[in-house]
Amino acid sequence: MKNKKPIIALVALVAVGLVGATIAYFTSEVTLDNVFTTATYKTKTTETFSSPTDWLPGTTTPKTVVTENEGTIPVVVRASLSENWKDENNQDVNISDYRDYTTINFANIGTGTNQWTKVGDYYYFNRQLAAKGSSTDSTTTFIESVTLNADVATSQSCTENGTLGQGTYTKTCTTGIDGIGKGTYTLTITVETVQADKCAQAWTGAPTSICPTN
Amino acid sequence: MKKIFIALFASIIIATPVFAEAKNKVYVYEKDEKVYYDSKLFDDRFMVHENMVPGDSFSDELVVENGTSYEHDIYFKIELDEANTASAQDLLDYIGMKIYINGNLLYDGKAKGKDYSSKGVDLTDAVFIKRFAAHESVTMRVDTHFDEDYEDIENHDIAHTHWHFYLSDQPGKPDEIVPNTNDDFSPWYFVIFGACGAVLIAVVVFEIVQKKKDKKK
Repeated sequence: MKNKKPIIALVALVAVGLVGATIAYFTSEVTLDNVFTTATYKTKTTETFSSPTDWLPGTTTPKTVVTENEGTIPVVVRASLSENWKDENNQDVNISDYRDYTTINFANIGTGTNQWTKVGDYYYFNRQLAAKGSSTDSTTTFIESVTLNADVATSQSCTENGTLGQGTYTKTCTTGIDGIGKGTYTLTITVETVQADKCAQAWTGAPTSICPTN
Repeated sequence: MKKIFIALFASIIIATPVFAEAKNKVYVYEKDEKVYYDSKLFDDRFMVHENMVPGDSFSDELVVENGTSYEHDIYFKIELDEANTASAQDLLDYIGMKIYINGNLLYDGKAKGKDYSSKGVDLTDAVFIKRFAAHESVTMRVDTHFDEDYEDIENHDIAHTHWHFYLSDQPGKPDEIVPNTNDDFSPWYFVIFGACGAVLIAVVVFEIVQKKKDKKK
Protein backbone atom coordinates (compact mmCIF):
# COMPACT_ATOMS: atom_id res chain seq x y z
CA MET A 1 0.00 0.00 0.00
CA LYS A 2 2.77 2.47 0.81
CA ASN A 3 4.33 1.93 -2.64
CA LYS A 4 1.36 3.63 -4.34
CA LYS A 5 2.14 7.11 -2.97
CA PRO A 6 4.96 8.10 -5.38
CA ILE A 7 3.09 6.65 -8.38
CA ILE A 8 -0.01 8.84 -7.86
CA ALA A 9 2.09 11.98 -7.33
CA LEU A 10 4.03 11.30 -10.54
CA VAL A 11 0.83 10.91 -12.57
CA ALA A 12 -0.39 14.30 -11.34
CA LEU A 13 2.91 15.93 -12.30
CA VAL A 14 2.90 14.48 -15.83
CA ALA A 15 -0.74 15.56 -16.37
CA VAL A 16 0.03 19.15 -15.49
CA GLY A 17 3.11 19.05 -17.71
CA LEU A 18 1.03 17.94 -20.69
CA VAL A 19 -1.43 20.79 -20.20
CA GLY A 20 1.48 23.24 -20.18
CA ALA A 21 2.94 21.84 -23.38
CA THR A 22 -0.21 22.58 -25.43
CA ILE A 23 0.15 26.32 -24.78
CA ALA A 24 2.85 28.21 -26.60
CA TYR A 25 3.80 31.62 -25.34
CA PHE A 26 5.01 34.74 -26.88
CA THR A 27 8.23 35.32 -25.06
CA SER A 28 8.63 38.88 -26.14
CA GLU A 29 6.45 41.62 -27.52
CA VAL A 30 6.95 45.11 -28.91
CA THR A 31 4.25 47.69 -29.65
CA LEU A 32 4.31 50.34 -32.35
CA ASP A 33 1.87 53.23 -32.26
CA ASN A 34 0.20 54.67 -35.33
CA VAL A 35 -1.50 58.03 -35.43
CA PHE A 36 -3.96 59.18 -38.07
CA THR A 37 -5.07 62.79 -37.84
CA THR A 38 -7.49 64.45 -40.21
CA ALA A 39 -7.05 67.97 -41.40
CA THR A 40 -9.81 70.40 -40.57
CA TYR A 41 -11.45 72.00 -43.55
CA LYS A 42 -13.41 74.98 -42.33
CA THR A 43 -13.91 78.50 -43.62
CA LYS A 44 -15.96 81.47 -42.49
CA THR A 45 -17.26 84.30 -44.63
CA THR A 46 -18.22 87.56 -42.97
CA GLU A 47 -20.36 90.18 -44.63
CA THR A 48 -20.50 93.74 -43.41
CA PHE A 49 -23.68 95.34 -44.67
CA SER A 50 -26.52 97.42 -43.30
CA SER A 51 -29.62 97.12 -45.40
CA PRO A 52 -31.05 100.64 -46.00
CA THR A 53 -34.77 100.99 -45.45
CA ASP A 54 -35.14 104.02 -47.63
CA TRP A 55 -32.45 103.92 -50.24
CA LEU A 56 -32.31 107.19 -52.12
CA PRO A 57 -30.64 107.85 -55.48
CA GLY A 58 -27.05 108.94 -55.10
CA THR A 59 -26.64 107.05 -51.86
CA THR A 60 -23.81 104.58 -51.37
CA THR A 61 -24.23 101.66 -49.03
CA PRO A 62 -21.06 99.97 -47.72
CA LYS A 63 -20.78 96.23 -48.20
CA THR A 64 -17.67 94.12 -47.65
CA VAL A 65 -17.12 90.40 -47.76
CA VAL A 66 -14.10 88.68 -46.19
CA THR A 67 -13.37 84.97 -46.01
CA GLU A 68 -11.18 83.41 -43.32
CA ASN A 69 -9.61 79.97 -43.16
CA GLU A 70 -10.51 78.37 -39.83
CA GLY A 71 -9.06 75.00 -40.75
CA THR A 72 -5.63 73.42 -40.79
CA ILE A 73 -5.08 73.13 -44.54
CA PRO A 74 -4.66 75.82 -47.20
CA VAL A 75 -7.75 76.75 -49.17
CA VAL A 76 -8.48 78.89 -52.20
CA VAL A 77 -11.46 81.20 -52.62
CA ARG A 78 -13.61 82.45 -55.43
CA ALA A 79 -16.79 84.49 -55.45
CA SER A 80 -19.59 85.29 -57.83
CA LEU A 81 -22.41 87.78 -57.56
CA SER A 82 -25.87 88.32 -58.86
CA GLU A 83 -28.33 91.23 -58.61
CA ASN A 84 -32.05 91.16 -58.31
CA TRP A 85 -34.79 93.77 -58.13
CA LYS A 86 -38.29 93.01 -56.97
CA ASP A 87 -41.10 95.48 -57.47
CA GLU A 88 -43.56 96.57 -54.81
CA ASN A 89 -45.64 93.47 -55.55
CA ASN A 90 -42.59 91.29 -54.85
CA GLN A 91 -42.33 90.33 -58.50
CA ASP A 92 -38.97 89.99 -60.22
CA VAL A 93 -38.09 92.88 -62.44
CA ASN A 94 -36.49 92.10 -65.76
CA ILE A 95 -32.73 92.50 -65.40
CA SER A 96 -32.40 94.71 -68.48
CA ASP A 97 -34.66 97.25 -66.81
CA TYR A 98 -32.52 97.89 -63.79
CA ARG A 99 -28.99 97.26 -65.06
CA ASP A 100 -28.09 100.91 -64.79
CA TYR A 101 -29.81 101.62 -61.50
CA THR A 102 -26.92 100.52 -59.34
CA THR A 103 -23.16 100.57 -59.38
CA ILE A 104 -21.17 97.91 -57.58
CA ASN A 105 -17.96 99.46 -56.30
CA PHE A 106 -15.27 96.82 -56.45
CA ALA A 107 -12.06 96.85 -54.45
CA ASN A 108 -8.76 95.02 -54.65
CA ILE A 109 -9.20 93.89 -58.23
CA GLY A 110 -5.88 93.20 -59.93
CA THR A 111 -3.02 90.77 -60.17
CA GLY A 112 -1.39 91.39 -56.80
CA THR A 113 -1.23 88.62 -54.22
CA ASN A 114 -3.87 90.24 -52.05
CA GLN A 115 -6.15 91.05 -54.95
CA TRP A 116 -8.85 89.34 -56.93
CA THR A 117 -8.85 88.37 -60.60
CA LYS A 118 -12.04 88.07 -62.60
CA VAL A 119 -12.17 85.07 -64.90
CA GLY A 120 -15.52 84.31 -66.49
CA ASP A 121 -18.25 84.77 -63.90
CA TYR A 122 -15.92 84.35 -60.93
CA TYR A 123 -13.63 86.56 -58.90
CA TYR A 124 -10.65 84.46 -57.75
CA PHE A 125 -8.54 85.52 -54.78
CA ASN A 126 -4.98 85.43 -56.07
CA ARG A 127 -3.38 83.40 -53.31
CA GLN A 128 -4.14 80.50 -51.02
CA LEU A 129 -5.40 81.13 -47.51
CA ALA A 130 -2.94 79.55 -45.12
CA ALA A 131 -4.06 77.56 -42.08
CA LYS A 132 -5.77 79.38 -39.24
CA GLY A 133 -3.46 81.52 -37.17
CA SER A 134 -1.25 82.54 -40.07
CA SER A 135 -1.02 86.17 -41.12
CA THR A 136 -2.29 85.10 -44.55
CA ASP A 137 -5.35 83.14 -43.40
CA SER A 138 -7.93 85.60 -44.78
CA THR A 139 -8.87 87.41 -47.96
CA THR A 140 -9.27 91.05 -48.62
CA THR A 141 -12.72 92.17 -49.75
CA PHE A 142 -13.40 92.42 -53.48
CA ILE A 143 -16.37 94.72 -53.05
CA GLU A 144 -16.68 97.77 -50.88
CA SER A 145 -20.08 99.32 -51.56
CA VAL A 146 -23.14 99.59 -53.77
CA THR A 147 -24.50 102.90 -55.03
CA LEU A 148 -28.00 103.61 -56.16
CA ASN A 149 -27.21 105.81 -59.11
CA ALA A 150 -28.06 109.47 -58.78
CA ASP A 151 -29.64 109.70 -62.19
CA VAL A 152 -32.23 107.05 -61.49
CA ALA A 153 -35.58 108.54 -62.32
CA THR A 154 -37.95 108.60 -59.41
CA SER A 155 -41.54 109.55 -59.05
CA GLN A 156 -43.66 110.37 -56.07
CA SER A 157 -47.20 109.30 -55.45
CA CYS A 158 -49.28 110.59 -52.56
CA THR A 159 -52.54 109.61 -50.96
CA GLU A 160 -54.61 111.98 -48.84
CA ASN A 161 -57.03 111.14 -46.05
CA GLY A 162 -59.39 113.86 -44.83
CA THR A 163 -59.43 117.53 -45.71
CA LEU A 164 -56.67 119.93 -44.82
CA GLY A 165 -57.81 122.19 -41.98
CA GLN A 166 -60.83 120.06 -41.07
CA GLY A 167 -60.21 117.42 -38.42
CA THR A 168 -57.68 114.75 -39.03
CA TYR A 169 -55.82 115.03 -42.28
CA THR A 170 -53.01 112.75 -43.42
CA LYS A 171 -51.02 112.72 -46.62
CA THR A 172 -48.76 109.77 -47.33
CA CYS A 173 -46.23 110.05 -50.15
CA THR A 174 -44.05 107.25 -51.54
CA THR A 175 -41.02 107.83 -53.68
CA GLY A 176 -40.46 104.99 -56.09
CA ILE A 177 -38.07 104.21 -58.90
CA ASP A 178 -39.68 104.51 -62.27
CA GLY A 179 -40.58 101.09 -63.57
CA ILE A 180 -40.10 99.42 -60.21
CA GLY A 181 -41.91 101.50 -57.70
CA LYS A 182 -40.96 100.88 -54.09
CA GLY A 183 -38.77 97.96 -54.92
CA THR A 184 -36.23 95.84 -53.16
CA TYR A 185 -32.70 95.40 -54.41
CA THR A 186 -30.79 92.25 -53.51
CA LEU A 187 -27.13 91.68 -54.21
CA THR A 188 -26.20 88.05 -53.64
CA ILE A 189 -22.55 87.14 -53.25
CA THR A 190 -21.70 83.48 -53.36
CA VAL A 191 -18.32 82.57 -51.91
CA GLU A 192 -16.84 79.15 -52.63
CA THR A 193 -13.77 77.58 -51.07
CA VAL A 194 -11.91 74.39 -51.80
CA GLN A 195 -8.79 72.76 -50.37
CA ALA A 196 -5.91 74.22 -52.34
CA ASP A 197 -4.40 70.98 -53.64
CA LYS A 198 -7.74 69.84 -55.12
CA CYS A 199 -8.53 73.20 -56.69
CA ALA A 200 -7.76 72.30 -60.29
CA GLN A 201 -10.01 69.24 -60.11
CA ALA A 202 -12.87 71.05 -58.42
CA TRP A 203 -12.83 74.26 -60.44
CA THR A 204 -12.37 73.75 -64.13
CA GLY A 205 -11.48 77.00 -65.84
CA ALA A 206 -9.75 78.45 -62.80
CA PRO A 207 -6.52 80.34 -63.57
CA THR A 208 -3.51 78.03 -63.28
CA SER A 209 -1.68 80.65 -61.22
CA ILE A 210 -4.22 79.97 -58.47
CA CYS A 211 -5.08 76.34 -59.22
CA PRO A 212 -2.00 74.77 -60.80
CA THR A 213 -2.63 71.50 -62.59
CA ASN A 214 -0.42 68.70 -61.29
CA MET B 1 38.48 67.82 -74.82
CA LYS B 2 38.34 64.25 -73.59
CA LYS B 3 40.30 65.19 -70.47
CA ILE B 4 37.92 68.01 -69.73
CA PHE B 5 34.96 65.69 -70.09
CA ILE B 6 36.54 63.12 -67.77
CA ALA B 7 37.40 65.78 -65.22
CA LEU B 8 33.91 67.18 -65.33
CA PHE B 9 32.33 63.75 -65.03
CA ALA B 10 34.56 62.88 -62.08
CA SER B 11 33.67 66.07 -60.29
CA ILE B 12 29.97 65.32 -60.68
CA ILE B 13 30.41 61.86 -59.17
CA ILE B 14 32.35 63.23 -56.23
CA ALA B 15 29.90 66.04 -55.69
CA THR B 16 26.84 63.77 -55.67
CA PRO B 17 26.02 63.05 -52.05
CA VAL B 18 24.82 59.59 -51.09
CA PHE B 19 22.30 59.33 -48.31
CA ALA B 20 21.56 56.04 -46.64
CA GLU B 21 17.85 55.98 -45.89
CA ALA B 22 17.14 55.28 -42.24
CA LYS B 23 14.29 52.84 -41.71
CA ASN B 24 12.11 51.86 -38.82
CA LYS B 25 13.09 48.43 -37.64
CA VAL B 26 11.54 45.68 -35.53
CA TYR B 27 14.31 43.29 -34.61
CA VAL B 28 15.14 40.34 -32.42
CA TYR B 29 18.24 41.16 -30.46
CA GLU B 30 21.00 38.56 -30.43
CA LYS B 31 21.97 39.14 -26.82
CA ASP B 32 18.69 38.49 -25.02
CA GLU B 33 16.54 37.02 -27.83
CA LYS B 34 13.83 39.61 -27.31
CA VAL B 35 12.06 41.76 -29.85
CA TYR B 36 12.65 45.53 -29.95
CA TYR B 37 11.67 48.50 -32.06
CA ASP B 38 14.09 51.05 -33.43
CA SER B 39 12.00 54.07 -34.46
CA LYS B 40 13.30 56.67 -36.84
CA LEU B 41 10.46 58.97 -35.88
CA PHE B 42 10.18 59.43 -32.14
CA ASP B 43 9.16 57.29 -29.19
CA ASP B 44 7.57 54.07 -30.36
CA ARG B 45 5.68 55.49 -33.31
CA PHE B 46 5.65 54.03 -36.77
CA MET B 47 2.98 55.59 -39.02
CA VAL B 48 2.19 59.18 -38.14
CA HIS B 49 -0.03 60.85 -40.71
CA GLU B 50 -1.20 64.28 -39.70
CA ASN B 51 -3.43 66.72 -41.49
CA MET B 52 -4.81 64.03 -43.78
CA VAL B 53 -7.25 65.16 -46.42
CA PRO B 54 -9.54 62.86 -48.38
CA GLY B 55 -7.67 61.43 -51.35
CA ASP B 56 -4.28 61.42 -49.64
CA SER B 57 -2.04 58.37 -50.03
CA PHE B 58 0.96 57.36 -47.94
CA SER B 59 3.61 54.66 -48.02
CA ASP B 60 5.63 53.55 -44.98
CA GLU B 61 8.30 50.92 -44.64
CA LEU B 62 9.35 48.79 -41.73
CA VAL B 63 12.19 46.29 -41.61
CA VAL B 64 11.51 43.17 -39.56
CA GLU B 65 14.77 41.43 -38.73
CA ASN B 66 15.90 38.39 -36.84
CA GLY B 67 19.26 39.52 -35.53
CA THR B 68 20.02 36.22 -33.85
CA SER B 69 21.80 33.06 -34.94
CA TYR B 70 18.63 31.01 -34.42
CA GLU B 71 15.29 30.58 -36.15
CA HIS B 72 12.43 32.65 -34.79
CA ASP B 73 8.73 32.88 -35.53
CA ILE B 74 7.29 36.37 -35.52
CA TYR B 75 3.61 37.24 -35.29
CA PHE B 76 1.76 40.47 -35.89
CA LYS B 77 -1.49 41.90 -34.57
CA ILE B 78 -3.42 45.20 -34.80
CA GLU B 79 -5.26 46.65 -31.85
CA LEU B 80 -7.39 49.78 -31.76
CA ASP B 81 -6.73 52.29 -29.02
CA GLU B 82 -9.51 52.13 -26.44
CA ALA B 83 -9.33 55.90 -26.06
CA ASN B 84 -10.41 56.48 -29.67
CA THR B 85 -13.67 58.41 -29.92
CA ALA B 86 -16.55 56.96 -31.91
CA SER B 87 -15.82 59.29 -34.82
CA ALA B 88 -12.14 58.36 -34.66
CA GLN B 89 -13.11 54.69 -34.91
CA ASP B 90 -15.26 55.59 -37.92
CA LEU B 91 -12.33 57.43 -39.45
CA LEU B 92 -10.36 54.17 -39.52
CA ASP B 93 -13.04 52.73 -41.79
CA TYR B 94 -12.10 55.36 -44.33
CA ILE B 95 -8.41 54.49 -44.32
CA GLY B 96 -7.63 51.66 -46.70
CA MET B 97 -4.47 49.73 -45.96
CA LYS B 98 -2.36 47.25 -47.88
CA ILE B 99 0.56 45.46 -46.27
CA TYR B 100 3.24 43.82 -48.35
CA ILE B 101 5.97 41.53 -47.06
CA ASN B 102 8.92 41.65 -49.46
CA GLY B 103 6.49 42.78 -52.14
CA ASN B 104 3.93 40.04 -51.52
CA LEU B 105 0.49 41.18 -50.41
CA LEU B 106 -0.24 40.08 -46.85
CA TYR B 107 -3.27 42.22 -46.12
CA ASP B 108 -5.74 44.30 -48.09
CA GLY B 109 -8.37 45.96 -45.93
CA LYS B 110 -8.94 48.81 -43.56
CA ALA B 111 -6.58 50.35 -41.02
CA LYS B 112 -8.75 48.72 -38.36
CA GLY B 113 -7.15 45.39 -39.21
CA LYS B 114 -10.28 43.67 -40.45
CA ASP B 115 -9.82 42.40 -43.96
CA TYR B 116 -12.76 42.99 -46.25
CA SER B 117 -11.18 41.36 -49.29
CA SER B 118 -11.23 37.74 -50.33
CA LYS B 119 -7.93 37.05 -48.61
CA GLY B 120 -9.68 37.04 -45.25
CA VAL B 121 -6.70 37.98 -43.12
CA ASP B 122 -7.88 39.33 -39.77
CA LEU B 123 -5.10 41.30 -38.15
CA THR B 124 -7.09 41.87 -34.97
CA ASP B 125 -6.07 38.30 -34.22
CA ALA B 126 -2.35 37.61 -34.30
CA VAL B 127 -1.18 36.39 -37.69
CA PHE B 128 1.99 34.54 -38.49
CA ILE B 129 4.39 36.66 -40.54
CA LYS B 130 6.96 33.95 -41.15
CA ARG B 131 9.66 31.80 -39.64
CA PHE B 132 12.78 33.89 -39.82
CA ALA B 133 16.05 32.14 -40.49
CA ALA B 134 19.12 33.33 -38.60
CA HIS B 135 19.86 36.97 -39.46
CA GLU B 136 17.03 37.09 -41.98
CA SER B 137 15.12 40.30 -42.55
CA VAL B 138 12.08 41.30 -44.56
CA THR B 139 10.67 44.64 -45.59
CA MET B 140 7.11 45.40 -44.62
CA ARG B 141 5.59 48.09 -46.84
CA VAL B 142 2.35 49.71 -45.74
CA ASP B 143 0.32 51.67 -48.28
CA THR B 144 -2.54 53.69 -46.85
CA HIS B 145 -5.18 55.72 -48.64
CA PHE B 146 -7.65 58.15 -47.14
CA ASP B 147 -10.99 57.63 -48.87
CA GLU B 148 -12.33 60.51 -50.97
CA ASP B 149 -15.82 59.78 -49.62
CA TYR B 150 -14.95 60.88 -46.10
CA GLU B 151 -17.32 63.74 -45.32
CA ASP B 152 -16.69 64.69 -41.71
CA ILE B 153 -14.23 67.29 -42.91
CA GLU B 154 -14.94 69.94 -40.31
CA ASN B 155 -14.17 67.58 -37.46
CA HIS B 156 -10.59 67.24 -36.35
CA ASP B 157 -10.25 63.53 -35.62
CA ILE B 158 -7.32 61.64 -34.18
CA ALA B 159 -7.29 57.85 -34.34
CA HIS B 160 -4.66 55.61 -32.79
CA THR B 161 -3.89 52.00 -33.60
CA HIS B 162 -1.27 49.79 -32.04
CA TRP B 163 0.75 47.22 -33.90
CA HIS B 164 2.05 44.37 -31.81
CA PHE B 165 4.91 42.15 -32.88
CA TYR B 166 5.29 38.92 -30.95
CA LEU B 167 8.15 36.51 -30.75
CA SER B 168 7.12 32.92 -30.15
CA ASP B 169 8.99 30.77 -27.64
CA GLN B 170 9.03 27.85 -30.02
CA PRO B 171 9.10 27.44 -33.79
CA GLY B 172 5.77 26.86 -35.46
CA LYS B 173 2.35 28.32 -34.81
CA PRO B 174 1.30 27.83 -31.21
CA ASP B 175 -2.01 26.17 -30.36
CA GLU B 176 -2.98 29.12 -28.26
CA ILE B 177 -1.71 32.66 -28.39
CA VAL B 178 -0.90 34.03 -24.97
CA PRO B 179 0.70 37.44 -25.13
CA ASN B 180 3.37 37.70 -22.51
CA THR B 181 2.64 40.48 -20.06
CA ASN B 182 6.03 40.51 -18.44
CA ASP B 183 9.16 39.96 -20.46
CA ASP B 184 11.15 38.88 -17.42
CA PHE B 185 8.68 36.24 -16.35
CA SER B 186 9.26 33.00 -18.21
CA PRO B 187 6.13 31.02 -19.20
CA TRP B 188 7.79 27.87 -17.84
CA TYR B 189 7.22 29.29 -14.36
CA PHE B 190 3.52 28.71 -14.89
CA VAL B 191 4.17 25.05 -15.68
CA ILE B 192 6.50 24.63 -12.70
CA PHE B 193 4.13 26.35 -10.27
CA GLY B 194 1.19 24.41 -11.69
CA ALA B 195 3.04 21.14 -11.37
CA CYS B 196 4.08 21.86 -7.79
CA GLY B 197 0.52 22.79 -6.91
CA ALA B 198 -0.84 19.67 -8.50
CA VAL B 199 1.67 17.52 -6.64
CA LEU B 200 0.73 19.21 -3.37
CA ILE B 201 -2.99 18.67 -3.99
CA ALA B 202 -2.35 15.05 -4.97
CA VAL B 203 -0.36 14.46 -1.80
CA VAL B 204 -3.02 16.08 0.41
CA VAL B 205 -5.84 14.10 -1.24
CA PHE B 206 -3.81 10.95 -0.98
CA GLU B 207 -3.18 11.57 2.71
CA ILE B 208 -6.90 12.21 3.37
CA VAL B 209 -7.85 9.00 1.57
CA GLN B 210 -5.21 7.11 3.51
CA LYS B 211 -6.46 8.49 6.85
CA LYS B 212 -10.03 7.45 6.02
CA LYS B 213 -8.81 3.98 5.13
CA ASP B 214 -6.77 3.80 8.36
CA LYS B 215 -9.86 4.81 10.41
CA LYS B 216 -11.91 2.07 8.77
CA LYS B 217 -9.22 -0.42 9.73
